[in-house]
Amino acid sequence: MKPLLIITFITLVSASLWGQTTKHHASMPIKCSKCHTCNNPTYLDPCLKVCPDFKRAGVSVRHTADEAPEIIKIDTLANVYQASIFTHKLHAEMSAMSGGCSLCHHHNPPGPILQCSDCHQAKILRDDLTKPGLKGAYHQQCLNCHKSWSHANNCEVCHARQTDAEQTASTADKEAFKGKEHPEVTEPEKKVYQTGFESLPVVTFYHDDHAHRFGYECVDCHKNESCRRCHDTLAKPSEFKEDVHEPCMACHAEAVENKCTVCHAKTEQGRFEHANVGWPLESYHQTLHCQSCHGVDKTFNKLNSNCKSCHKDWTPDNFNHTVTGLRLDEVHASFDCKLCHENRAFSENASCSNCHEGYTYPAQKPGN
Amino acid sequence: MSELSEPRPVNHKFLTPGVIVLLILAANGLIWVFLRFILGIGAVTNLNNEFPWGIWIGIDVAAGVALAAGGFTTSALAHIFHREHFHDIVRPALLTAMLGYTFVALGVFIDLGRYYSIWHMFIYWNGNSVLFEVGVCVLTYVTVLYIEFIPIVTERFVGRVDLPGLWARFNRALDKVLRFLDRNINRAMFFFIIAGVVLSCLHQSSLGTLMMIAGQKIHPLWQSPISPLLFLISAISVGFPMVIMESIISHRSFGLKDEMDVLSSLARFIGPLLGVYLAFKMGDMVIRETFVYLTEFTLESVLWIIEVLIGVIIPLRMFLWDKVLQSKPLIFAASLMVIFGVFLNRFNVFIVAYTPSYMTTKYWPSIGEISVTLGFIAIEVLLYRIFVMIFPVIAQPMRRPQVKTKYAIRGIIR
Amino acid sequence: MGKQSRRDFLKTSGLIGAGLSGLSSKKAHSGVKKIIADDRMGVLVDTTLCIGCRRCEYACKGAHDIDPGRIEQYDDRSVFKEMRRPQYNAYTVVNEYTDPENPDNPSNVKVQCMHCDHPACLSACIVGAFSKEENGAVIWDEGKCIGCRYCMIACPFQIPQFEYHKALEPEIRKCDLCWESRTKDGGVPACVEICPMEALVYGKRYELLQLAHERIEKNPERYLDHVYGENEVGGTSWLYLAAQDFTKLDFPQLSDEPAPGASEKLQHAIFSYFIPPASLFALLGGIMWINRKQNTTEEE
Repeated sequence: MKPLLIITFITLVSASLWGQTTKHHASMPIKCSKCHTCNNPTYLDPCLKVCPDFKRAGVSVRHTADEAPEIIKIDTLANVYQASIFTHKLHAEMSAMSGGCSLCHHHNPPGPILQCSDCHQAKILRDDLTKPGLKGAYHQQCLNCHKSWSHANNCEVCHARQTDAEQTASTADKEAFKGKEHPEVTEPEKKVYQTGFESLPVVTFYHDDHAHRFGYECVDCHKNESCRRCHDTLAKPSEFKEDVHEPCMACHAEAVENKCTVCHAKTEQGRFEHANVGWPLESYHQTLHCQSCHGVDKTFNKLNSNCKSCHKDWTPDNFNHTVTGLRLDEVHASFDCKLCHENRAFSENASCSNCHEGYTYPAQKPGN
Repeated sequence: MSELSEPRPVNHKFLTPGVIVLLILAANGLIWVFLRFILGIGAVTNLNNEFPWGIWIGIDVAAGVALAAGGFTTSALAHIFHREHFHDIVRPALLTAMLGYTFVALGVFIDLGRYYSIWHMFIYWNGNSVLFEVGVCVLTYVTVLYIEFIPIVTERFVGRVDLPGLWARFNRALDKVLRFLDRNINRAMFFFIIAGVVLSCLHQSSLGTLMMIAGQKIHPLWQSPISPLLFLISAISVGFPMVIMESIISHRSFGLKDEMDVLSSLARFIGPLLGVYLAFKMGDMVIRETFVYLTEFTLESVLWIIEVLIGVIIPLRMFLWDKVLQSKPLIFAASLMVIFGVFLNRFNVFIVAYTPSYMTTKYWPSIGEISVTLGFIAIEVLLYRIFVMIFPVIAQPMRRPQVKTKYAIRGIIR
Repeated sequence: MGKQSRRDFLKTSGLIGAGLSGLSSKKAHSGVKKIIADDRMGVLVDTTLCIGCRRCEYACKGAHDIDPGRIEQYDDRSVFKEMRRPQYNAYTVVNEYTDPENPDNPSNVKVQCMHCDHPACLSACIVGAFSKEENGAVIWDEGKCIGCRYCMIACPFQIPQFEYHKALEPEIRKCDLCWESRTKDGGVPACVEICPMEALVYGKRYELLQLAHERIEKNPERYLDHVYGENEVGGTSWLYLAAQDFTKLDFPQLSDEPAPGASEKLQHAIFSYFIPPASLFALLGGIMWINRKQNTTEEE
């Protein structure tokens, strides 16, 4: 009976999943011709339109920043101003921290990388006003970020005036921009914030712990970074409590709840020590990544000190006492666990007094 | 009528200290008018893109038209309703209206940026424009007033044309023209009289429509949908007080016996008219619930209260009181209040109530604007003085038996 | 005199009646051009896109024979300290407004004639010097204007500007949607052409409305759900999208009634086919005639 039920369940689940995928696509209430140029698109030849009439959710830029062109000269519309030199690679690298390639390449069906001008027309009087024209597409793309951090929008930031012969050589020359890189970003060891919270003003943040010891990738935290964070010419620290707390709370919300003292203190605090949570890491545990026990979630799961909470597959039959750092001698190895570990409380010290008068653990270990 | 009278040119010396003051004001005004034509409107006035209209429109035109309403109200009373009792005051009122409207037209003329194109309004018509209607009516009415004045000219000069020097050769021809007019104009005079009243009703009310298009730029206390009706009724109410005021002043100035019996009976009309005006004004306020603005202490609310209290309510009570009607100082004071009230109303609607959508500075008339306005008023008074000294306008006790006049407007029918 | 004048009275009355009816029919067909074409053009201004580069001010001057000066002068952002209004020598200006909730992202608002569908200036003008053309442009005719400035009184947006400094040939100056120099022949207004951000979109008004609502729908957190000019004063050719309340951007709060509103209706009611004035004339004539008759009888 049981296998039959399982088979039925699996069939139903897969059928419903299959149903969902088909519904997701062919039975959607849009015409095939909206995306496909041919009547019978197949997986191998999807004959997709280059610029469909709607914004696709998925973007398939399948490159890394290293493969991307380094410099692109944008000169399609140059008239009053000269062409603009765009340091593409530099932007592509930095974009990893703020949305990735799709931030600019917001639409790209499988195939070659599209240029802005493939979809955006250079004409001002055009049939489809919903898509910005080419000029608008360029400027909206650049200035959305540049306006907010440079607070300058005079054209000369990106273009040289067509009439200025002197600047022609410097700004319009692609070579001059080659090899331009973002200066190396120095990683802080720790940050000590003096907050406006009067009674507990100091918050200590160990950046290196988060980046290396806890095993996070940079983009795990720095994923919605705007250039402004560093480049804002008029930057001033945010005054809103929510803004300041937001980066920490993404992971620490559960731990903090309403306890300010989790982060705030009167003085600078030391690093995180596992012993402080009541479980000093010893022997094997010391060398493990946090994720080995606490799961791959960004937020580490809280564990109890019971061995079985991690070592789920341990049974009296297969348990090798050696992994705890204490190899039992032959005599002790043959005992039932309960004989030393009263009530199977493995996290507490073993009791020797059941057999040995006057013996205590760990002074007199039953092995080495 | 107990005492017989007839209009005659007044025999009085022209120059008096008052006249000299008026001459100075007039000269000053003319200098500023000259500057306006040489340097442009911007140099002489405080007008700007926020306040396109100032006192030249608000006082010279809007208030000027209202205060010249005596012409059509007395004309209607005397000629259309045939109250012969009032014939003595028709000619002074006609002269006032004629001069008043002439200066309204001149006021508009100097305020126009392209005054030399004023004739465009006769060829490019815009039937939707309230201003077009006002403009055409006012200019037509000025013409009608001149035509109504012709019998007074012919009465004075038929057979007595005596031009000086070289012009003397035209004496005969001019005399012929005058005689022709004298013979024929009376046949059509009734048409001009009615036309004068109709045109007056039209443009007096349309002046009230004029600022409606400014929408919310006009303070709600005055932005009323019945504004044209209020303007018409107030114009009719201010007509007789103007006639009373002028009569008392001119008779005193020329040392003539006053016309209290005529003025008292004329004043009896004013009370009811003011009553109707007040009723509509208050009704409008209650229906539109604009009284809420009176609780705020602003320039607008204070001026509205002054306008209604001093200009309407107090004189209304006074004119309903027999003692006032019999007393020259009181009837004069009450008339002045009505005149002040209507003047202030026009000033309020056109200037005080107007707040530009984007205001940086408040409007205050410049020296030039005030000079021109005062100058025009001075010239008007001077011309009135000159006209009544040349033409038979003011009624004076009869010196000799008189043949019956052909048409009422020429004089008095016994 | 009695008989004679009564006959005259009737004769003249007839003539007047005929004259008046002639007058009224002419008035009904007054020559003011006001075309509201279904496919009239317009401009959609997205104040959230505008970066305040003021290139539109530069291009506008160039397109209207006003010396624009050097283009670099327009980079000066200190002009935003004060609210500026269009002038006789600047038909469009850009102002900047800081959003208290988003102080780093100010809104820039371009100001120019809105080109109303039912323009108050056109209704007010004594000589009909304004006209609304096929593409929606409201333009001024120098050949007709007498300089009365009633259009300035009427305009709810305070747009027509008068050349007060000129003693002769002062003009009423305002944005003409580049009618004379460009759009009459199917061109694009100079400001739209130069706008680098395409914060200005020139197109058919109904398409722009669709576009505006589409943008609001797609980015509800970016835009206020209101297209200024869609219904204000009966609709305008220029339409605005904004992130914050329009009154905070100094847009006047106006009703959906066309700006000429009640004044035009009232005017037409008083003058509908000249019936009310003619009736008043007849009424007064009647009163006069009756009174005269009584009088003559008494005299005789």
